Amino acid sequence: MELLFAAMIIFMGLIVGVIILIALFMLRRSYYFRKRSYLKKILNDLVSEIAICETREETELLLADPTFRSGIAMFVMKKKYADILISKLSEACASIKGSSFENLVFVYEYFDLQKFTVKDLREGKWYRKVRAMQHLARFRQFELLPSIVALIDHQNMQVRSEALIALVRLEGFGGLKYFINSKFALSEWQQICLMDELSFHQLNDTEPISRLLSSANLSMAGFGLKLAKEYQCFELVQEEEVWIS
Amino acid sequence: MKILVAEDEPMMLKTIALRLKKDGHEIFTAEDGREALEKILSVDPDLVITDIMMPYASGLEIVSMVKQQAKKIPVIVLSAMGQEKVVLEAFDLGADDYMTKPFSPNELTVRVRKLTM
Repeated sequence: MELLFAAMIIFMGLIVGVIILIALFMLRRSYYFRKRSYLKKILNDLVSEIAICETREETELLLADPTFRSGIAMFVMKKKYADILISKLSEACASIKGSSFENLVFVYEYFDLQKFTVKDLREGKWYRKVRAMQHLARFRQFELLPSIVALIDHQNMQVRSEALIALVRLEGFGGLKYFINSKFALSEWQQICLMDELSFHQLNDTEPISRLLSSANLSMAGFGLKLAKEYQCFELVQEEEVWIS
Repeated sequence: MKILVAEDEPMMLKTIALRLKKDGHEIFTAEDGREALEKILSVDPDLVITDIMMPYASGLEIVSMVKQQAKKIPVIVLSAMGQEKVVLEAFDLGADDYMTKPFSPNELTVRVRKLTM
């Protein structure tokens, strides 16, 4: 009887323990989400203020403003907060152009936020690498192009795809020149994404397409053919008699 | 000048609102289509700037409603790349101008000035 009673007590204790653990987990999660949404709200205001500056001088004055500095200070110190700021700036960069876009890039560089992005690019898990490349391409960080090129043969397909897209986003059709030595096959979906990204760029020189056509990687050469058809560079295809035969 | 800005992306909404406030306009904001439709009736704006894709009611519904009002209210439509077909539909409904994202807030102020002159 006593044994049964003890077993019941242990069982009840376990159930209560599990309930407490779940409650603590939920509380922590809810606190995290509330804090994150509060920080995002603050950042919406700060980023909007940056975006509406009309000149570089006005942006610099805003960054020197004590109220603004105290508001943004926590976001440039720790990586977990800097990540939220970088995401917000990057989000704004996707919808804004002109001097507002330049202001956002200036702020990214002014607070040396690249160091957090580069850390993700070099040491992060695959999804962090993907996000880092999206940010670098949006903030037009050309000096980090070699680090992106190094990822086109990454073992993770998402990382490879994002590297290819980031190269095209940064260099337009010129970005295709990095593709030719890629060891991996280009999937149909990757080709669709790249075609979409290329549609935002002007084709000034057909040399990158020509180089794709001579790639030893058949999927790359196939992609080159699709581009030749899409952009009506049929003379390039005629040159590639070996490929056609 | 009373301007109603309807945009579901909070940061864009804030940016457009701040930019136009800086130009001396009185700004009213709506974060979804339904709120925008309500504010068109309650605020009686002189100009409406609306995103196309919004929850509850689309930018097209907003254009359509604005153009049914007795008062002639100009509408600027904001669209994403690749929404040309929808933009044409907005023009058919009576939209006065459009801007494709990404856009320059400075360019928006010029277009607002042009429509409100």
